[in-house]
Parts: sequence; structure tokens; C-alpha cells
Amino acid sequence: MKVLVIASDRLGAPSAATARAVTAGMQLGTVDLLAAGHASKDKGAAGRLLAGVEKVIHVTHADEFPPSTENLASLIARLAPGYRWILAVHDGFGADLIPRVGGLLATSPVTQVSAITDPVTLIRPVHAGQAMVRVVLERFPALLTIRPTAFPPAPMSSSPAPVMELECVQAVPSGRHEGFVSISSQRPDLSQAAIIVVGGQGLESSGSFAAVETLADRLGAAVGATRGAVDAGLASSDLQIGQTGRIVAPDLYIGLGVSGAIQHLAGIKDAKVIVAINHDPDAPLHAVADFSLVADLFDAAAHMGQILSKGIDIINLKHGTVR
Amino acid sequence: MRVLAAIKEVTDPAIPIHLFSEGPTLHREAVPGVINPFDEIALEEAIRLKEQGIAQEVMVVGAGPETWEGTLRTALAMGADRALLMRMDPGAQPLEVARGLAFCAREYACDLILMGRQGVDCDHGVTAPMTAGMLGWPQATFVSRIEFDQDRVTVMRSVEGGQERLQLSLPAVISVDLGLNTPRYASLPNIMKARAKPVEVLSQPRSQGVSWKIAAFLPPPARPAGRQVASVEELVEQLDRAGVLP
Ligand SMILES: Cc1cc2nc3c(=O)[nH]c(=O)nc-3n(C[C@H](O)[C@H](O)[C@H](O)COP(=O)(O)OP(=O)(O)OC[C@H]3O[C@@H](n4cnc5c(N)ncnc54)[C@H](O)[C@@H]3O)c2cc1C
Ligand SMILES: Nc1ncnc2c1ncn2[C@@H]1O[C@H](COP(=O)(O)O)[C@@H](O)[C@H]1O
Repeated sequence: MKVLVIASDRLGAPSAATARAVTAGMQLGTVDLLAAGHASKDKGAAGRLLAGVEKVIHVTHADEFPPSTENLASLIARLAPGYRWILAVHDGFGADLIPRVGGLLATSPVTQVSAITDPVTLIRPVHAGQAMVRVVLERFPALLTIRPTAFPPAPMSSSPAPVMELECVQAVPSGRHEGFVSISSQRPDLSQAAIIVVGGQGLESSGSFAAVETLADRLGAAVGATRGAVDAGLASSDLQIGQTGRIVAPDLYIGLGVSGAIQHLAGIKDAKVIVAINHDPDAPLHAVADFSLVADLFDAAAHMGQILSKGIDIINLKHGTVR
Repeated sequence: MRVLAAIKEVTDPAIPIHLFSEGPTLHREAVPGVINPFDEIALEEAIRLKEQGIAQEVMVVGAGPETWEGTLRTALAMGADRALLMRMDPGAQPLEVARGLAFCAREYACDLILMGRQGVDCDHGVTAPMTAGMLGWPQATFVSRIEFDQDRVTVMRSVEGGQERLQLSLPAVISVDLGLNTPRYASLPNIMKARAKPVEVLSQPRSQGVSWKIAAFLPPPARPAGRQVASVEELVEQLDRAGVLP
């Protein structure tokens, strides 16, 4: 049975998360990919090469770029009878679009799906990840958004999928796109980074995020923040990780001066290795960390930077580790 | 302009959850109800629009059980002019809530609905776009700035990698993000005054059935127990062994 996956690409370049949505889609049925934004400039070419995509629906739009959520939702609602599931990534694009389709089709979407047990049984977190729910679908087409960190990207294929063109017309009152202020950073993006160094309100005493940034640059890591740090004016809100910020899944997460509030933990539970550096032994982040160091964050971050710049082999020698 | 602010009551997010048992209902200790933090921000914005003379009236609506009356009175004490309680099961699905909100917006000729980006209990994050879709109104979600110019409103949406600027015409639906404003506290005199104000009770539009069922609440996946390290040297050595250093 057929799944319509919406490529996550309205504003930026085609998002890497799209390949993850395709993986989720393939756990449900056979996948068509709808490309409507930037990716559609290349006629959905990037999506054509994702293994498992049977067909790309390339949305063209004569008078409007990027197409508005409102018009795109109407177009998807018209395609809906041909599909049993309609799915997108839970990001600023998918979480805006999918529920609007739900309003048009009179269906409540299931959002932030973190696992697909079978084609009608899904798992999603509630209460900032303090509990999970098993949801059984009752109405079709079902509308879903997925947590990209919970699904691996679909591999590339060598034979491109065929493309069907479809025009998106301006039919409903819509918000007008007036611009995009991108946050340019030399550092890797939070959703892609293998290592993320996160600063919390513990940085406030220094009045800046320098300790976090220096260590991150030493590691080639992305910089993230808690809401505590954002509220203290130390970091911009797009760096916030958690229930109401970004969900991340790096190989290594290092939290400096982060207490580990439930709402923050909601965004980091998929990290492979979590490190807590906090001078308060009772900080909850210590309890979930794989490695916890009770220490002053400024001393520890500086020391760690020094060791890394000298080369790790020095400690391996000292501790007699055989590599 | 009449603004409708949607208010959901949620269990206090500052109090951690302990699941008592797995099953189709959430078994947990009793926790006090509060206004969903995002809805406080939405209501604060509505009240500011009135204080600036942009809005004439601020209505709040909650779609829930009658026990939500206290929460709606808190909204009145913050500065809402009028409160509606649409009687609904606490577990009503977003479709029912959105239909209820769309009904109120039409019935009371509202020009703008301000809502939260998500309820911090169920974490759906769907009700605002669903309501907008039902009404056929333009929408903006995850909004962290709102500026009015006559009947046009320009917003900034926080999305991956930056901020999108969108211009909407009214009527419209806006869901708000953290950072838009800092909600005020209700003053004691206003809390006293709100006690005397009516909370109008409406009955729910006829149900359309459910889109999905909750089969069970489960504990979150456990992470393996961690270990304490004594020094930065030991930490780096362990990370190197785990193969996560560059
Ligand atoms: C609806 C809602 C949504 C929320 N969403 C999010 C979200 O998405 N993301 C998020 O992060 N938060 C979120 N929060 C906020 C969350 O509840 C916490 O308030 C926040 O995460 C705390 O940030 P923090 O750990 O930086 O600050 P704090 O809790 O103040 O912790 C600072 C820590 O730094 C340590 N410290 C201080 N100085 C030093 C030093 N020199 N060396 C070592 N350690 C030191 C202290 O011991 C302390 O543990 C949300 C809250 C609500 C109500
Ligand atoms: N039962 C309800 N009554 C009133 N407003 C609600 C209700 N449920 C959700 N909302 C509004 O919709 C927003 C998003 O909720 P949700 O889609 O459930 O995450 C909330 O922040 C509220 O503004």
C-alpha cells in the first residue's frame, strides 16, 4: 500500500532528513516522494536517487515561490485518496504542513513518531519523553510526522525514479513569504554534527559562551544551548535543544553547566554517548550521562582542550592503554 | 479586532512524571493543573495587542472538562475580557478541539486566533494548523515576533537554520513559540475581580469519532547506566576508547 512522503525542503536546500523520512515510509509501504520547495528546482533530482522511492511528484508553481503551506496542504489533500499514509519530518516545514492537511481531511495527525511497530502501530513520546505511547491508527489516510533522529537515512540508488509534474495553484488565502534570515555559522549544523558541545546557564558567570565555543572548535563540533542559556542571553534561540527546541542525535554530546531538566533531556536521549560536566553532583544530567565529571566547567573545558590539542596518545601512554 | 486565545490546561511541567503502570490510561500521581506555558505566551500577546489599541477584545476558550474553570479564571485575571469553556473530555483528540475552536472563531466573529505551538503534555503540536485548515485561514506557526500594520501582520517563524518572515492578512491563526514575550503574573486584585466574572459554558460540537487510539502508555526506553570519571584525563581516555573523538 502506498505512502506519500513529503520532502523537507521548502526553504533551504533539500534536507538530509528527507532520506530518513523515506526510511520510515518504507516501513509502512511503497513510497512516492513529493518535492515542492528548493529541491523542486532540480525537478526533485536529489529525491529520485533515494533507494525505495518509486516516483517523485515534482510540484511546480507558476506564481509563488516557495509554495505556501496553505496551497501545498490543499494540493496534498487532493492527492490523499491515493495514499494510505502521508508522512513528513517533524520540523518547521512538516509540523506546519501535515496538521493543516489534517484540518482539511478531518484527521488528527500522529506526530513525532519515534518507532513503527507495524503499519498501523506507532510509538511516540509524550510529556517531554517521560512516557511513550503506543498508538493504533483507525482512520486512513493516516497523517504522520516522524522524529528524524529515530530513523536512519535511506541509501542512494543508481537508477533514478521517474518524475511526475504537478502544478500547485494559488487557491486559498496564504501567508506571503517575505524572506529568510539564515543563521550562518562556520560550525556544523546541529542536525548533522557527530559531536555537539552544549552550554547551559552555568556559563552565565563568565558572561559569554566562549568556553563552549572554544571546546567545540577544538572538536570540530556543533554548539548547542539549553533554554537557561538562551534566556540568559548567552546563545541564540535556534541553538536551543530540547522539547521545544531541536532534537539531536550526535555520537557525542558534552553538556557544560547543564542541569539536565526534563525538557532538555527530551532533545538528547538519542545521543550515543552523553557526557555531563557540572560541579553539582546532584544535577540530573549526571544520572543520565554515560560519563559524568563533577568539576568546574571552565577548568574542565580548558583542560580538555589542552589535552586534545596535544594529542590523545599522551594519555594513552600514561595510562598504558593498548590501542 | 477581536482576538481569541486558546487555553489548554496541562499538568504542571515542572513536576516530573512517574508512571505507575503500563496501560491505555496514564497512571501517575496527581499533579496540579496550570495554563499550558505556550498558551500563557499567546494570551500575553493578545493582552498586549489590546493595550496597544490594536485589539478591542480578548476572548479565551478552553475545550475541556468543567474543572478547567479555575484555569480560565486565571486567564481572566491576567487580562482576558471574556472566557468560554467548551465542555469536552480531557482526552479529546486534536480534531475535536480544532473543530471546537473553529466553531468559536466563527460564532464570535474573531479576527485572530492565538495559540501555543504545542501542549506540553501530549506534545501533539497540531491544533493551530488544523484549526486554520478548517477555517480556510492563513496560518503561521512557531512565531517568535509579531508586528501589526493596519490589518496586515508580519511575523517571524523560528525554523531550522533561521527565521522565516511571513506576511499574513486577517483573519489568521498564529501559534507562538518561546521568546515571543514574558507572560505577566495576575495581580491579587485582578485575581479577586476575576472570581466575579462569568465563565460561559458551551457544549461540544457533535463528535466525528477518533483518528487513532492509545493502546498503552509505556516507560521511555532506558539508557544503560553511566559511570563517574575522576578526571579530565580519564574522561578523554574513555571517550577515545568509545571511538567518539575525532
Ligand atoms: C514548556 C517548557 C519548555 C521548555 N523547553 C526547553 C527546551 O527545549 N530546552 C531546554 O534546555 N530547556 C527547556 N525548558 C527549560 C528547562 O525546564 C530548564 O529550565 C532549562 O533546561 C535549564 O537550563 P540549564 O540547565 O542551562 O540551567 P540550570 O538549570 O540553571 O543549570 C545550570 C547548571 O550549571 C551548573 N553550574 C553552574 N556553574 C558551574 C560551573 N562553574 N561549573 C560547572 N557547573 C556549573 C549548576 O550546578 C547547574 O546544574 C523548558 C521549560 C518549559 C516550562
Ligand atoms: N483542549 C484545548 N482547549 C483549548 N486550546 C487547546 C486545547 N488543546 C490544544 N489547544 C491549543 O492548541 C495548542 C497546541 O496544542 P496541541 O496541538 O495539542 O499540542 C495549545 O497550545 C493550545 O493553544
